[in-house]
Amino acid sequence: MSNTPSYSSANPWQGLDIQSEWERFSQRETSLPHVWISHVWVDHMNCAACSGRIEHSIKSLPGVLSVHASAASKRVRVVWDAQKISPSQWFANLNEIGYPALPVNEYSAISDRTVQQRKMLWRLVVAVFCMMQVMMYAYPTYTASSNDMAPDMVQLMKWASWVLTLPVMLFSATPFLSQAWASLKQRQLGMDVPVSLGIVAAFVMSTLATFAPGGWWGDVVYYDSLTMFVSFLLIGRWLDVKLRNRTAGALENMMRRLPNAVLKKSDAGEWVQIAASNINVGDVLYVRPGEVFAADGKVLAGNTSADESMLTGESDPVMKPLGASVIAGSGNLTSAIEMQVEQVGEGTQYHALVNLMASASTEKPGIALLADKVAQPFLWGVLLAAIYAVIYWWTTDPAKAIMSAVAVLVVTCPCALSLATPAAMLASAGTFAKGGILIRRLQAIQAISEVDTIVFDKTGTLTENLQQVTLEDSHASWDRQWILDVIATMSRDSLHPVAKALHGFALQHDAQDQLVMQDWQEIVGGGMSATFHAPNGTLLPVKLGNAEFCGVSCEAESEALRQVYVTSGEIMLARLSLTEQVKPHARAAISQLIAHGLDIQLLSGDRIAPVKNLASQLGIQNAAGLQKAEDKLQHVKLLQQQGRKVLMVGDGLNDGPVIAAAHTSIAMGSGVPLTQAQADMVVLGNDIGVLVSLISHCKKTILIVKQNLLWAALYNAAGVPLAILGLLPAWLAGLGMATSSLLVLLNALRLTDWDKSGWQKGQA
Amino acid sequence: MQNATVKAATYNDTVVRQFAIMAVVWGVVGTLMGVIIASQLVWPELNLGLPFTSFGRLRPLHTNAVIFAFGGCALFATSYYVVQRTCQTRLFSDKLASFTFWGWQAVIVAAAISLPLGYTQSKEYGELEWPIDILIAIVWISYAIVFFGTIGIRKVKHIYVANWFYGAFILAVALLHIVESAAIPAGMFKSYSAYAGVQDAMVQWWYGHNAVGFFLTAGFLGMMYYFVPKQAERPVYSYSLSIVHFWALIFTYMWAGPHHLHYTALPDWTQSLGMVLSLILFAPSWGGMINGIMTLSGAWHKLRTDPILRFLIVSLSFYGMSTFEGPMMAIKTVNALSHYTDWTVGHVHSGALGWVGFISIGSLYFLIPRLFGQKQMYSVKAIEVHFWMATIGVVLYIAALWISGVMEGLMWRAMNADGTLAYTFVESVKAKFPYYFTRALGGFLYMSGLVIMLWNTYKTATSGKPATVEVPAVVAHA
Amino acid sequence: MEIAFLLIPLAVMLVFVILGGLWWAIQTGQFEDLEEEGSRILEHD
Repeated sequence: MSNTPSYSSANPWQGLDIQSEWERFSQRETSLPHVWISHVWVDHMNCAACSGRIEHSIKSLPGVLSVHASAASKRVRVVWDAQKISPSQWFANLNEIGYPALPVNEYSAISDRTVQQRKMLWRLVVAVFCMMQVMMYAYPTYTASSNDMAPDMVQLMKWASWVLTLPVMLFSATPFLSQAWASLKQRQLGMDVPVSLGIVAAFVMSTLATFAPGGWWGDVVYYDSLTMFVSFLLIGRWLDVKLRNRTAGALENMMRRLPNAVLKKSDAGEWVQIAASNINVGDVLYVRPGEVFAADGKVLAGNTSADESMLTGESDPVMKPLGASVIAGSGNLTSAIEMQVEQVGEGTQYHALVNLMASASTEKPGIALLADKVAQPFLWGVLLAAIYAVIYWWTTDPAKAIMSAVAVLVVTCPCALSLATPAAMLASAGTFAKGGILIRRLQAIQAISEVDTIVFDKTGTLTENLQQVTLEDSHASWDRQWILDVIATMSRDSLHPVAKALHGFALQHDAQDQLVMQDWQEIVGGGMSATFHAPNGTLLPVKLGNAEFCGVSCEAESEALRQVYVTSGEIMLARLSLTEQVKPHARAAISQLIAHGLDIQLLSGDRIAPVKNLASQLGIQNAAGLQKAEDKLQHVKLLQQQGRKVLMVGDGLNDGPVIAAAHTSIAMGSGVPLTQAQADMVVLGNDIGVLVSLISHCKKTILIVKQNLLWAALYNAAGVPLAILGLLPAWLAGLGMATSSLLVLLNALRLTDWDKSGWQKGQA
Repeated sequence: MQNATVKAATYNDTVVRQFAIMAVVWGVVGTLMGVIIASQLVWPELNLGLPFTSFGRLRPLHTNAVIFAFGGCALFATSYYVVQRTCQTRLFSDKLASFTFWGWQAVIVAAAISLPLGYTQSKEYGELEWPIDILIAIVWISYAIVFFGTIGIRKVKHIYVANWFYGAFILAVALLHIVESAAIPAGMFKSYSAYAGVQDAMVQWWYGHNAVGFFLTAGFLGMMYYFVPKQAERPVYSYSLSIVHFWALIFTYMWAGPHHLHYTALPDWTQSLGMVLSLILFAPSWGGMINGIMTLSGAWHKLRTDPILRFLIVSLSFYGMSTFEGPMMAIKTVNALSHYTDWTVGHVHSGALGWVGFISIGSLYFLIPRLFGQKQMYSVKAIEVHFWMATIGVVLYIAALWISGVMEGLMWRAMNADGTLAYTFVESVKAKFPYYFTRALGGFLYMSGLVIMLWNTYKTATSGKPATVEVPAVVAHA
Repeated sequence: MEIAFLLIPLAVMLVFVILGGLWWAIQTGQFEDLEEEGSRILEHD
């Protein structure tokens, strides 16, 4: 088989033995010197028996500390000592036993997250199981009639409960306790401080009551309340982690999309398996159906279709004939092809997308910052209330004083307050991400919900990308077909949408794009120039571009958006016009937006007549053409002086000041170069109908944030006085805290249900 | 050395075959004992006036034969089979495995001799005298060594959920047996319990109920989690749920025992605790049952043509039924009516005949042809007949005892206006006659089904020959 | 109810043993790729 991996030198992995090389797929084991954790990918590891074999074989090498192989993900995690063994040795060993491996990059962040989630689940499981056992021992003390239980039996139950509470205190509750301790050491009052105080106080009181009953602390134990409280807290934390991971999961799915290994054509013309990280521009890769393209490039041989939904939000397969561009992260659907790599790694659109999503998930929205701001005084308030409860009860009943304080600390647990905003925002962001909308700043959700005016700053967002080209005019004394050949040849290598349209148009009219051409140049914002051999044998400099670039002084009147000229010096060889068509759902979407009270405006740099024409087709009242950036800026500022909240919708390019001035902005269109887009949100795909449901979902998100905050406030207002008055036993305080956090999370989860098709019900 | 390498490449199915066949044999013997004592309740003359054949001596023989001989052999057979297949390795020790077979048969034979002779510790499900108890302990520890040793040398990293259930069953039964059987010997055939009075009762039902939980539930759930997916040819409905099922069950089981001692000298708080924990048990039990039944989702049509699958799925419905009935009967007010009546006996048999019996029969029907290199049992028609006889038998049995139990409970508590009891005890006995007859009939049908199974097994075994199955080779995928 | 002084410590001990077993299972990755493990038994006989 031509695509079986073949390796040339004796140990081809020697290149990995440099630290900078192995750092790419390894992390330091921080607790031990010289010890590294590496992730490698093994293609042939198909069943558990294989993983067992791999583990067994590698583990026997001196210097390998532990091995974990997962057949499902085809990954092996090796922990090794750099002083005793080098990566090439265990790579060679893997190869010997029949499992050639490849290094895996960027795997650490993903596994960290799952490790964290698993650990949280484990803490929760321990807490819940111990809670159930403690409850069992607490149950008789509540229900037994006064003389039914002998005192020594009661004591036995307390001891058993104490022992069962230990794992909860020492293991399950450690995240709260250690975070509280860390924040106290920094002389700050963290969210976990009151909670931890409550936990520790309840535990100390109960321990005293168990082993030295009869002091001022009384002889009542609270192990059941304590374990229940920790369990509830952990359920909240765990759901929070899960929710975050679900959002981050969309991101991780993206990151994990790229293959780890690819088949590359070697110099000898054979297919060789190499790590995806070693792909270079110019490499020829073999991509089978079902695989994901590892880099941006062009189809060299074959004919297939691709699934680009991950990157464009559009689910229809895209035809990829010979010569078509394919993008990293999209999937090869129908048949095997060869591709030539044009962009790798950082340069790909895929990478830009991943970076964009990564930055959004770490952003804190303004409304959350507000919650953080009130948190400090709130926490002080809680502490004061707790102290007040102690003072209030101390003289009459010290035990009750402490437990009332515990109730205050527990019932006010600021989880609900701190979860209210991020839970809702993250839920929405995750939902949007799945629907092909990327949020650069979470703040944008709030901003979009407040918008009352939408300004489209490009006609491109409202029209099809496919431009219809018409050859309006060509010079009578030149061969028309030769002119078409020139157009085809000049536009062949440009990525500009107009050039692409022209190239396609010329090819349709049987033009050849292989004329001999010299000095080809592309001038941004103008056009292209090159020199050709004219049919009569003379060298002919040709320009193809807009009127200004081509030196055409008076443009012909036309309904068309654009006119393109082909000139040679003073001679105009041809004139072409491009018209655009309104997107199929644009009209319906615009009228829906108008129906919901939004003012729609269109500002375009294009000529006035076609802009007006387009606006009337769409039902937009306010439209202006020939707008320069300064004009747009002024217009937006004017709107804002009237108190409007303006949403700019465009392709996000070259409009920095306007976007900065607007309340918020959305960039849309499948052709948007993400690296340059400056908008707060990026809508992948061309369907402007999404705008409608996007705006309504943002409104819904903010509504839910407000509900959550209101709920948290009301709950605390009711809970604290009850706790101070000693009317709230510790377990009920715990239950109340858990319910309020849970309600907040569940309320936020409603946002994961997003109907993309229109304005959502129940919205103004 | 040569021999060892050849051996390592095959499964040890000899011991599985031995246990599987003996399970069928003891199934017939045990249910025959049941039919005899059920008939004695209808026609007391059947005790023949001999001490060896009296109800009091045959009843423990019946329970020991069905639980430990039939159920035990089925568990040994299936656990040895499942642990080898899911770990893809041969049993840890052939000699020790063979010892567990002969040792266990010796225990059964010793029971069959000593119980009719009247040697008993008179602890329910723990009647056998101390020398036999010691033999049980030795066999059981050998069993644990073989089982966990095999897990230890497994070639598959993951330990399949069925093995967790089997493992918990083996460990828990070892612990229960040792605590329960603690006794001071007074001669070769006599001993006194190490506990006295209510303490002894508490230990007895701590043991008794956990024996139900770990012997009759956990072990057979292990069977269910392997053979239901195998026969249905689809994976467990939710494998994650099966893991949760396992941990939840073993965490909650230990303390349900006191519900056997409602309204006794046991302190009230202990009784309430037992009641609450029994109620909690309902959740994991039903989780497991639903998981098992839903394994068939999308393949329900197989039930129409496959009597083995029908055995397995009906066993799960009986499991669901009795794990609903059990917690309900543990509620003190319900227990006030049901305790000491035939309702309890009916409940136990809906679990024993319906759940334990059906799951074992289904699993054995899966196992036996494979052990003799056959595609299926000698007669599939006979399985069909067996299924209907067994089902009708169980339904007759439990319906009869439900009615008679509730009736009996109501008669015992019925009072005249002046506060005297409305019925004498013997009146309630007399009223139960038709139900006892129906029960004996149901039992007879169930036993006859097992006789057909024995014939079918014999025919399958003789028309095939003991098969040697190779362990799938662990090869490097080139 | 002196028996409780045997049975309750025994039960508490057992809880720790079970927790230990659970810990071992999670730690050694027994519960990774769960659904795949569920269907593996159908592969071989």
